[in-house]
Amino acid sequence: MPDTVLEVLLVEDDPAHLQRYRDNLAQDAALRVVGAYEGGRPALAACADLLPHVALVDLDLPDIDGFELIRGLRSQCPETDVLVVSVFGSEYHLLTAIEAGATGYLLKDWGATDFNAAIHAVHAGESPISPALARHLLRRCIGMAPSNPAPAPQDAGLLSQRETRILECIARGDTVSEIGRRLFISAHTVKTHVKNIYRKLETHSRHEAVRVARQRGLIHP
Amino acid sequence: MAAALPLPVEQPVEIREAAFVATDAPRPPEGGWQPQALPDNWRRSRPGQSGYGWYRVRLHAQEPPAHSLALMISMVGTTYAVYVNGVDVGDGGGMAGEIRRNGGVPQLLVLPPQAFVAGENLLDVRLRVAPNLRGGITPLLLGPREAVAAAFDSLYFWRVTLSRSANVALVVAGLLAGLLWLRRPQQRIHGLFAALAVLWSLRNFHYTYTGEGIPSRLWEAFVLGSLGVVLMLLWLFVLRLTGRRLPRAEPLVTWSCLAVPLVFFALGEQAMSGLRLAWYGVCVALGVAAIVALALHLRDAQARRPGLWAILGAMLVTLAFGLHDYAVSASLLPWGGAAWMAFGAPLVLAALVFTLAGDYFGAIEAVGRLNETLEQRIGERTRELAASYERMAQLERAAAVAQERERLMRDIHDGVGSQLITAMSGIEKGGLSQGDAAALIGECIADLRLVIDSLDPEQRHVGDALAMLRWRIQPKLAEAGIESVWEIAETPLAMPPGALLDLVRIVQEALTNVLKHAQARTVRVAFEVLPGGGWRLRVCDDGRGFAPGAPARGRGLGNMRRRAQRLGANLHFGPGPDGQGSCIAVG
Repeated sequence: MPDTVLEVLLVEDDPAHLQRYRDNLAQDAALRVVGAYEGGRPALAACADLLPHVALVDLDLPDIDGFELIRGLRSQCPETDVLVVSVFGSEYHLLTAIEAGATGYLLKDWGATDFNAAIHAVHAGESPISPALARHLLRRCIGMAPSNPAPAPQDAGLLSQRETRILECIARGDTVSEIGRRLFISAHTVKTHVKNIYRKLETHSRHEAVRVARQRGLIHP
Repeated sequence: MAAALPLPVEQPVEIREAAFVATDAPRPPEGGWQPQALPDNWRRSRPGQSGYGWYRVRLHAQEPPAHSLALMISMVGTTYAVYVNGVDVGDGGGMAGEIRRNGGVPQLLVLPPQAFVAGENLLDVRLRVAPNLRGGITPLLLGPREAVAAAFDSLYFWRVTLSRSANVALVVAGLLAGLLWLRRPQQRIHGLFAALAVLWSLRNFHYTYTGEGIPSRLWEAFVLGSLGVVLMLLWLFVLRLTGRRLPRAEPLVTWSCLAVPLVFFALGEQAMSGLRLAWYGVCVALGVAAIVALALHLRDAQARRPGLWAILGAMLVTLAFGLHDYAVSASLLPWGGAAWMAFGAPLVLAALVFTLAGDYFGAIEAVGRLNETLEQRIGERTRELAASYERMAQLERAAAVAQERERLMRDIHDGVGSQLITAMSGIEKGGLSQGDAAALIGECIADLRLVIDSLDPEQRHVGDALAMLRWRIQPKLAEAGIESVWEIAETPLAMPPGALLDLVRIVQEALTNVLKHAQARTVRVAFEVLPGGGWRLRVCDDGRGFAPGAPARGRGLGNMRRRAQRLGANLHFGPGPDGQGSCIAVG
C-alpha cells in the first residue's frame, strides 16, 4: 500500500479533547487534520467537499445525535471510514455506532501511538471488536454466545458460518493471530472478516430502517 | 200420592217429588207408597235401613211421545233399576250378587217411545242399598233425549272426566317426582311428595269409581284408611318443608296411620261404617295439624317462600272442602253434589310442586350466584396475588439495584477513589512527577473501564469477564514486552457481577504488579473449573520473584486477599512452580 497521507476530519465539541486529538495526530506525519468541527451539522456539510479518508466522531455532540451524524457521513462520503471516539469503549454505543456505519473506535485517553495506529489500522481494513461486542453480536445473530444461551435470535442468518466462528473465538478472548492459527487463515483475513461483519450490520440496519419506515408509511416505495 | 206430572216431551223437567216404598219385592207393590221428596238420603230419612226400595213417579201423556226420552240420575250411590210401566228399561247392574257402587257417576238411560202409552205412565226406580253404603237418589231429570243427554254430558264431564283426568295427571306427576327422588334418595321430601301425590290421586278415583271386582271390605278399608295415610304424608311433608323434626311424634303418627287400613279391614264393613265419622274427625284433626305446622312456620320464618303461602292456601281450601264433605257424610248438608275434597288434591299438589320447583330453582340460582361470587373472589384474589408478585418483583429489583450500587461504590472506593486521592495528594505535595501522575490517572481510567464492563448484563461467566480483561490489558503487556498466555477454561461458570468484578480485579492487580515490578518476560493466567464445583485461578510470571514483606506490594496484596475472601476463596502468594518467579493462586 502506498504511503498516502491520511486526511482526518475531527468532530468534537470539547476543546480540551479536540486539542488532545490534534496533539496526537500531530505526532504522525502520515496523518493530517483537514477539518475540525464542534458540531455535527457543519461537519456533514463540509464532508462532501473535504472527502477525508477518516472521520473521528464524538457521539455527544450538541447539535445532532451521534448516530445520525455517522449515518449522514456514510451517506455523504461513502469512502470515508468513520471512527467513534469513546471514553469507555462500552459496547452499547459501539454496536449502534457500527450499525450506523462506524468501522472502529478510539479511546479518548489513548496515547498518540495507540491513537494513530488505530486510525491507520482502520484505513487498512481492520476493525477492532471487543469480546463483549462479539458476544452481543452472536446473541443477536445466532441466538447464543458460547457461554450464554438465549432464545430466538433477532437477526438470524445474517452472518456466515465462518463469521460466526470468528466471533465465537473473539468472545472467548482469543487474539487475532490465535484465531488465524486456529482457523488456518491469516490474521489479516480475520480482520477483514470483522470489517465485513461491520458492513453487514450497517447494511442490514439501513435496510431495516427503510423497511420499518415503509411499514409505518413514513416513506413510499 | 202426588199428582201426575205431564210427560216432558219439549223441555227436560227435574222431578223432585216421588212416592217411596221399602220392600224387597221384585215388583212394585200396589200399596204402601209414601210421598218422598228428592234428593232422598236414606241415612237421614231412614237411618240404619238397608235393602230394597222403590220410587214411583206418575207421568201423564196426551199421546205417546214421538221421539226417545232420556232419564238422568245425577247421583245414585248404589245399585238401581228403572222400569217404565213395569218394563225394565235399564239398570246399573248389581241387583243380584255383589252390589254395584255407582259412586258419583251420573247415570243416563234412554227411554224408547214405545215404553210410553197415552194416559198414565208409571216410572219406577228400584234401589238396592247395602248396610254399609249410603242409600239414596238425587232428583231425576226427564226430558227429550238430546236435551237430557246434553245435560248428562256436561255433568259427566265436570264431575267425572275432569276429576279422573286430574287424578291421572297427579298420578303421573307423582311418579315423575318418584323418579326424581330415585335419582337423589337423600332428598326425602321428593319421595314424600311422590308417595303423597300417587296415593292421594289413586284414592281420588274412588269418587268416580264404578267398577266391580274389588271385594267390598278391602275397598272400604282402602278408601277410609288411605285418607289417614294421605294426611299423614301431607303432615310429614309440611314438617320437612319447614325444616322441622318431631322425633317422637313422627313415628307414632306414621305407624298408626299405616296400621289403620289393616285395622279397618280386620274390623269389617259394619264396624267401619260405624267408625266412619269418628275416623273422619281424626283425619280432619291431622289435616289441621299440618296446617297449623305450616302457619306457625310462616309466622316465624324470615326467608320469603311464596310457595308456602300457596300451600297454606290450598290446604285451607281443601280443609274447607273436606269439612263440607264431612258434613254431607254426616248428613248435616244435603247430599247430591260431587265430593269437593276431590278438587283439593290438585290444588294442594300444584302448590307443592310450585314450592318444590321454587326451592329447586332457588338452589340453582343460589349456585349461580355463588359461582359468580366465587369467580369474583377468585378474580380479586388473582389480582391481589398479581399485585403482590409485582410488589415482590419490585422489591427484588430494588434490592438488586441496591446491591449493584453498593458493589460499584465499594469498587470505586477501593480502586479509583483511593488512587485519585493518592494522585491528588502526590500532586499537591509535589512528590509525584507529571508522568507518574498521568500514569496514576490513566490507571483510574482503565479501572473505570473495567467497572463499566462489569455493568454489562450479558457478562455472566468468568470466561466473559476474563476475555474482556485480556482484551484490555494484553496490548499493554505486549507493549511492555511481556508475552501473556491465557488459559481460560471454556466451561461456563456463572457468578454474580460483584464476584466477577472481584475476580477480574485480582487478575488486574496481579498483572499490574507484573507490569510494574516483576521484570518478567512471560505471564500465564490460568482459570480452571474443578470437578467438585470449585475453581482455581493462577497468575504466574517468570520474573525476579519477590521479597516477602516488600512494602510496594503490601497494599495490593491486601486488596487481593480481601477480594479473594469475598469470593470465598483463599489467596496464596508464593514462588512459581519451578521456584522461579512468583505465582498468585486463588481458589
